[in-house]
Amino acid sequence: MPTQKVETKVLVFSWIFQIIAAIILGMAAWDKIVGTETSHYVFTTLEMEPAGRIIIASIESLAAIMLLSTSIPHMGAVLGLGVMMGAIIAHISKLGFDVNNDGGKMVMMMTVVIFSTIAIIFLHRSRFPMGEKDTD
Amino acid sequence: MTFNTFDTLQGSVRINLEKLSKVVNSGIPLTAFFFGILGYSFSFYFHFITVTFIYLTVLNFIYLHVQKRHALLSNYGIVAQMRYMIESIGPELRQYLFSSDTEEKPFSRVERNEVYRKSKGIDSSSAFGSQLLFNENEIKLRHSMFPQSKESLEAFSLCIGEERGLENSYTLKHPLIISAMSYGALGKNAIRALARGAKKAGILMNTGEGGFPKYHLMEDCDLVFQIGTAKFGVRNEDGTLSETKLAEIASFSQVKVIEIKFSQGAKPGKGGLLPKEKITKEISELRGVPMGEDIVSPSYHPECTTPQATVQFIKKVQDISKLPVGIKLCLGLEHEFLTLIQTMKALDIFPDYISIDGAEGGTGAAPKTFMDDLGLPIYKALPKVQNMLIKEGVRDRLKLMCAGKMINSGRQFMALSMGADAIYSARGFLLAIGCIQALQCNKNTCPTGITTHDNHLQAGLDIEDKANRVQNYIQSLDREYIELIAALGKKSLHELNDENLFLEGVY
Ligand SMILES: Cc1cc2nc3c(=O)[nH]c(=O)nc-3n(C[C@H](O)[C@H](O)[C@H](O)COP(=O)(O)O)c2cc1C
Repeated sequence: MPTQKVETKVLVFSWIFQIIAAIILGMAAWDKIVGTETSHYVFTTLEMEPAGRIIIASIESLAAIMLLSTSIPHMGAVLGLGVMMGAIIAHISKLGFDVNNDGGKMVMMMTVVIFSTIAIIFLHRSRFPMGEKDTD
Repeated sequence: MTFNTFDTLQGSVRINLEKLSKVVNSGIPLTAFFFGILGYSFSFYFHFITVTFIYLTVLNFIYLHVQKRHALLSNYGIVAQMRYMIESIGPELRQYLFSSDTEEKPFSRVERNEVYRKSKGIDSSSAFGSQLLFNENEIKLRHSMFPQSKESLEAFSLCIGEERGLENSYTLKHPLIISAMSYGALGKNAIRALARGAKKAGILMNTGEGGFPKYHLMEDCDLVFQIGTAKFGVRNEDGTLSETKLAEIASFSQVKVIEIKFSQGAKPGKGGLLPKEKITKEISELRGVPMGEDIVSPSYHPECTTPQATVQFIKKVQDISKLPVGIKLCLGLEHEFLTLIQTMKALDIFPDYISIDGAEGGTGAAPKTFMDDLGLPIYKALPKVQNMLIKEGVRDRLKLMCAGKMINSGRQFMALSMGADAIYSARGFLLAIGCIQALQCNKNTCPTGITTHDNHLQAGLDIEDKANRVQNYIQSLDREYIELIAALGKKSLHELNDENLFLEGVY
């Protein structure tokens, strides 16, 4: 699949979002790996303790690493946004928005990641397959 | 009745596709919803699938309603994307599964396998009979009823520059020469593999119009230095010949012959072309041109606007280099070529050889029309040139060489019988060092690492191993030459002539 070049200006802009999203995702993954009280609470509520916690933590770390690469940050954003979609479903259906009395901090972080990853995907949109045919 | 069935068949296939896309387009969001419910009521793990299908829904929505560039995608959605995906692997599928052994172009699998076998040193026979079409356009070699014994054959030897009594004349020991392919068109590993192979096999190699032959010189083989129309390596700022730089290059002991390129079979009437994808920092330095844009050479030498000026230019290069000097061109307008020969005769100045490039010749990058529709094919051009030279009485003043798909001994012998003294091959040697005819020479993505500067791709091209392939190729060809010469009833390659050829109505 031919990948189009992304302009340098756009790339610089994209890096800001990549770093923000990677830091938040990385921190979230870390919390789950060490098993903070909140993460235990979340995954117990979702009945995914402990396997789900580890799986999600792995996906989040992978997404963070990909976001910091030069070649596949857009795929990292897709992965990160995917986890966030799962998070939205969790908050809507099971967790509510004030998790463990954190005053909405978790949901706020989630919103920042969602916004950043959508921005990254948009900035790199030319790198996704669009039925572009090799012309020669 | 029969074509009715066919009609309905076609119709049903089309309707099925349409139905399929409708089912898929509504099925994807429904699936997402379905797994959403499963996730809510049974296990949160189901939401992994929910999220995947939400993604597919969004993607499909973009295909159907947002993007405007691809009609198929906006009519059928994600189902059409499958079509593009399958289409994109079409060339590979055809090459691996569906094309017959004699079908692929420019070189069929039969022809390529022959070179691969030679380059791996495997001598083998084929069974049952020729797979080629025999028709009235076929050229064949005529054998003799009384073959020569192989012991009585004489070795090949051709002295370039003997007509001028040159001190630095060069004696070819092998009729096959590696044709011009520049560093730029080829990567450095490929150049070094070819050059090392040339050294091992004792054959001559043309540098191509890539400027200073840095990588060729590393391997210490005998070289023809090519002066392209842009004169990379020997150019002044204004694109004219720099005498000092030419003298400098000619003084390298490895540089045995100089070649002035006027035109090339794959793109006659057009200068060289190196796409920007392939221009590295080093290449831009070796050629003295900026990065980031295609390198387009002019279509002619600024010095050579008339036959007289052209001949004088050849003389100038001969005088400066003190080496044998040849010219390379693809035959176009015959009267122009004839005038050129007559001018040479009148001024008594001859190049030491003329190399005729057939229109079927290869290239790293050229416009399609120029490859397909311009210039004379080699088996048409070569007899014409040979006849003109004989008619003007100057055939003994120079050597004649030729190129154009000369990858196997059969075609080479036909050319030698038509009057060529030696043969140039470019793609034959590319096949020998592992080219799989992926047709990506203009994109820097050559999967075999030959026509690319991508370090990762080049890493797969082992110089020593491929150099041995070149040597094997030459040795296997040599064995075949001996068989063939003997079968044609001749004592050496020099004795081949047009009585050995058959073509209905011509020979
Ligand atoms: C990859 C590639 C690069 C080439 N580069 C040059 C070049 O720099 N100068 C030139 O005169 N011809 C160049 N040619 C053309 C060959 O020297 C030769 O004229 C032609 O390929 C002969 O046909 P063959 O490949 O069938 O032997 C190139 C050909 C190929 C395949």
